[in-house]
Amino acid sequence: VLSLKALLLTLLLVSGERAIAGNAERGKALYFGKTTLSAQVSGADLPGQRNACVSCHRHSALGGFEADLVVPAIAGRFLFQPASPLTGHSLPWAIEQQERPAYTLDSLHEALTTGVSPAGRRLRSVMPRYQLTREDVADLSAYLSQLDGRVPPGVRDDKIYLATVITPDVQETDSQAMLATLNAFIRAKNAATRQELARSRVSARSQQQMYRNYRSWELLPWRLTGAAHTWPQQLETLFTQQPVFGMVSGMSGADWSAIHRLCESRELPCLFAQLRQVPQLTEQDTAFFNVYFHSGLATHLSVAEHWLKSKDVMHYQLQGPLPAPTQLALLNQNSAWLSDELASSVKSKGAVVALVKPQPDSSVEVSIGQESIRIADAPPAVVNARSNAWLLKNGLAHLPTRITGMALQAVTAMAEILSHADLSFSAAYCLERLEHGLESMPNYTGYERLSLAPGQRFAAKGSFVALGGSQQWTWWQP
Amino acid sequence: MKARILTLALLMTSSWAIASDYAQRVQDVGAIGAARLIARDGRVHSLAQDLESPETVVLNFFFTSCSSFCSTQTATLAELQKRLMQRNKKVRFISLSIDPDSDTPDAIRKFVSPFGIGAGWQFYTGKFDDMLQLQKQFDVYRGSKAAHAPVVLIRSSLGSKWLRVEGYPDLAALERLVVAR
Repeated sequence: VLSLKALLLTLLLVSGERAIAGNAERGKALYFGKTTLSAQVSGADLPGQRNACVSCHRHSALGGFEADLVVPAIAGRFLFQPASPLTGHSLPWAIEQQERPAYTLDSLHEALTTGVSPAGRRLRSVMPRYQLTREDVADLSAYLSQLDGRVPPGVRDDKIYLATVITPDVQETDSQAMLATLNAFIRAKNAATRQELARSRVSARSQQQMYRNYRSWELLPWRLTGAAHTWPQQLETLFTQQPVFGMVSGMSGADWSAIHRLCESRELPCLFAQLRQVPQLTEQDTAFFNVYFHSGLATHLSVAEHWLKSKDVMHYQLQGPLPAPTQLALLNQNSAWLSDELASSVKSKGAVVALVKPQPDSSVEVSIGQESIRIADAPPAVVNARSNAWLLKNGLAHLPTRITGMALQAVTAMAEILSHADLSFSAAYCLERLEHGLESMPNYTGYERLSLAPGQRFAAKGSFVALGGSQQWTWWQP
Repeated sequence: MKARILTLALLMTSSWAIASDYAQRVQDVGAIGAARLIARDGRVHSLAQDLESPETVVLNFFFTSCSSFCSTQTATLAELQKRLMQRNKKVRFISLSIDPDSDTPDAIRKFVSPFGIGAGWQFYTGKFDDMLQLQKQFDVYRGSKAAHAPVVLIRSSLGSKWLRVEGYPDLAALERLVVAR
């Protein structure tokens, strides 16, 4: 079936003089900027590292809204079809794209090199003008045509399946608090969905344009068992039994990398697990579909450095267990971090060496002589008027607010991004909406601010700090 | 026939819209506070002090993970800087981050490096509240970084008002505006 499809695409891309069979792999490299291009914008050169299609049209190739710009969807199923103002359901649709004939290889080459659309309109000046060969354009077209907009398996006509993962180390009371919050939210959401579905039957317009993406949600608690090395297999089995669209919250004190990897390989938006530590990833791992509240140790150590610099301390030493690569990276990146031998030699010369001690609960203690601070990713109790009101209304106010607030944030974020979904329920596009939208959403957590952006996968950018043995936690940013 | 007239009108409207892809007006900004801004090399600067210089100043806002015009605007300003140098016109460039939570000096260095930027151009980050205050003062704050406004501000000399250029001017237009002032 695939080769037949490829053949059809090649035929579709037959241009004026001759057919060029595009190479989708090469096209993907162009799209993501792995192969750099020459481009001009507003009369200036736009450097190769900054002119890839993906920078504006995004991972999904469905475009986006930023500033006062509408960056149109350019996946092949839109580009190579005639467009009308109704094309693309909820997707960004620029005025230059309205009422245009389907792009051909020739007209796409024309638009990319000269900035004139097949309808004869000039594209906005922020769209770069590229130096591209017809072969390049054929490659790009082949890649864009691969993005076929199949609805992911976790979405059915009447239902969206979501999962939340709980690893075996988690205390039952904690996971119950999280599940109670997620379930209360989903019950209320599903109650409202009944009316939205009823409204969709009112008129042709509402069937065509509105309410089409409403589904009731079903949450599957995926409780992993046994040793961590068996989790990838358990997760695959669970996913095969009932595919899900994404994950909301989740809880673990152990290594989350198995869940992270499932979300990346199956392209599932996995939002805001409640973790002790960030997953132990390697260079080969991608990190697009997973978003987290906090980067843990990485941010804590930056905060520690910030504090030590403010105290004019020039040397620091790590004490206690830390993953070897992190140790090594620290020693390499900043000469202020001393190895054990260096520390004792510096101390023998009378210099002050601060001690930085990662704790088992994932906080970090920093001390200079008698003076010390503790750095943590969330204070023990969270007072948040917004989530408290909601929890009270739902009879959940007695549960630990740190857990319920974070769970509420995760499930609210899922509702927010699904409200932007296009008809293909593109997970990548949903995540791209979260990158832009999180900052404007209510914050139910104890974190000072939450925000994301393209490439950012940790929403809280600072840590909580308590001086000495006090319980007064304040928010610090490195 | 009716359809044809409508098409013509649309075409005219759209070409007019392209011809004026930016708008300009004089803007009163008021006195700049004493916020401590951090440059790419990690040193502390004061915008108020920078603006005490008699030179022409070109100022804009950006963030490193922007997925729209930050790169194109920076590229255009970088070319503008080169042209002004060729004309021996001394102009100070200042770019202010609207995402100081993520835009560390290191992140900004990485963002800037491909653009071939000359001396006399500062990129600043700082405390969230300070950068927010500056966005409000220059009237570019639109509620979130994703909703940022495409604005370049030009101040011809010490004490003069700012010229606010909003939209997507091309290089030639920007050069005219800076040189004319």
